[in-house]
Amino acid sequence: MKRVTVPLLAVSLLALAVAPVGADRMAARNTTRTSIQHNSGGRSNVNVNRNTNVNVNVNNNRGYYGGGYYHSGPSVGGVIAATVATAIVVGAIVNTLPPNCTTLMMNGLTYQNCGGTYYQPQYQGSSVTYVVVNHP
Amino acid sequence: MNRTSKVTAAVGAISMSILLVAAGSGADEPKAAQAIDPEAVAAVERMGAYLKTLPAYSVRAETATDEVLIAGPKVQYGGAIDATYRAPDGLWMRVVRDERDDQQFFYDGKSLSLWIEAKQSWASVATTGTLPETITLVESKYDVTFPLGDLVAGAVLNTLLRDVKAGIVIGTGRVAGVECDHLGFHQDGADWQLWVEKGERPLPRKLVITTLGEPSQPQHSEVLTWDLSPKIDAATFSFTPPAGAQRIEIAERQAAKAAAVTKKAVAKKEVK
Repeated sequence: MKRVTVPLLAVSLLALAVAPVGADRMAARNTTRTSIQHNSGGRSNVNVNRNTNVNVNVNNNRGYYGGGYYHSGPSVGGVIAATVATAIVVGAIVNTLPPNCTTLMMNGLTYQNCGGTYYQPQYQGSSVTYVVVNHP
Repeated sequence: MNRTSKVTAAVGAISMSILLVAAGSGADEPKAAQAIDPEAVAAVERMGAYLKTLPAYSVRAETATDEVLIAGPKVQYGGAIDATYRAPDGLWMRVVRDERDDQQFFYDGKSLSLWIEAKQSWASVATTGTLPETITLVESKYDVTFPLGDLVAGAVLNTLLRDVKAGIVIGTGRVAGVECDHLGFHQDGADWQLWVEKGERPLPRKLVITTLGEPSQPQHSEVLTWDLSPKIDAATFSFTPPAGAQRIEIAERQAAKAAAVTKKAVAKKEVK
């Protein structure tokens, strides 16, 4: 059993090691259950993303748009990962803000203006994410 | 470890769910209900009933959580949860995990607040009720997996076995040298194991959840250390946001949001 497992692990760590520079190689699929009763299952975008591309994730069972990430592995459960950022859609969610944002306070809540795109920080699942909103 | 026990361990890991299902499915007892050993159920219920009697406690959980990376490999993150509870509605909790910002939760019976110091961000939702009720509400409304929610809420509300399809008493196990009933359960998508202290204090001492949907079967484990006479002062459960901290919202579960909108629309129609 062990003899089979070790080479497999080595191969998959190798895949990680040769992933393209700039990719978020440590991105987790967040599929591990940490609760018996509550299954948030397949939360594919929380806490995974350290770059700032935005793309559309059509396979998130909670109906969110997902933060963008590169990955070199096989496509995960139908997640579409674009490698080039295009338009940023209202409702898109990223885990990291682009650089050079200014803070904006409206009705006691904080927003970030990043080059004319407005992000609202929110607590989602188990970490802070940023959702693209219309001008608040 | 000799060769035999190695093989046994490997087989055990693979076929936990098969073993559990097989446990109660003798040829003459086809009913699913009989797949759950009444002794395993009794042990869980004993634990829940005992937790319910505790006026206050502090608990520390050392956690280990596997994650399957998009690039392929399965890795493990460490963490710790410190919680202080006072019946019926006081909670403070700090959750630390590798690769995540530290988080603190405060509940004082009026609102549940969240503080993420690294981001100088806080969130708060007004809610009342006992702690187990509040945790259940938060999980369903916001899709937040509340740390230790199974044990501090599920066990007390007697809902831990809600989705269980098979369960057995594996035997006697030791956690930090303490003898425990080692229990195993199977439900859709997960196998889980629970170690409940034997004797006068049937406390949960360890929990392991195995995710079955992933080919590599990642696991999450919690090893618990209990203090049944914790120090609590007036400020333990209340949160005051520091000056300059930013307030954020907690994202609602999409289904819950949609249901609320529909409900409103229906209510409007009825008024007309």
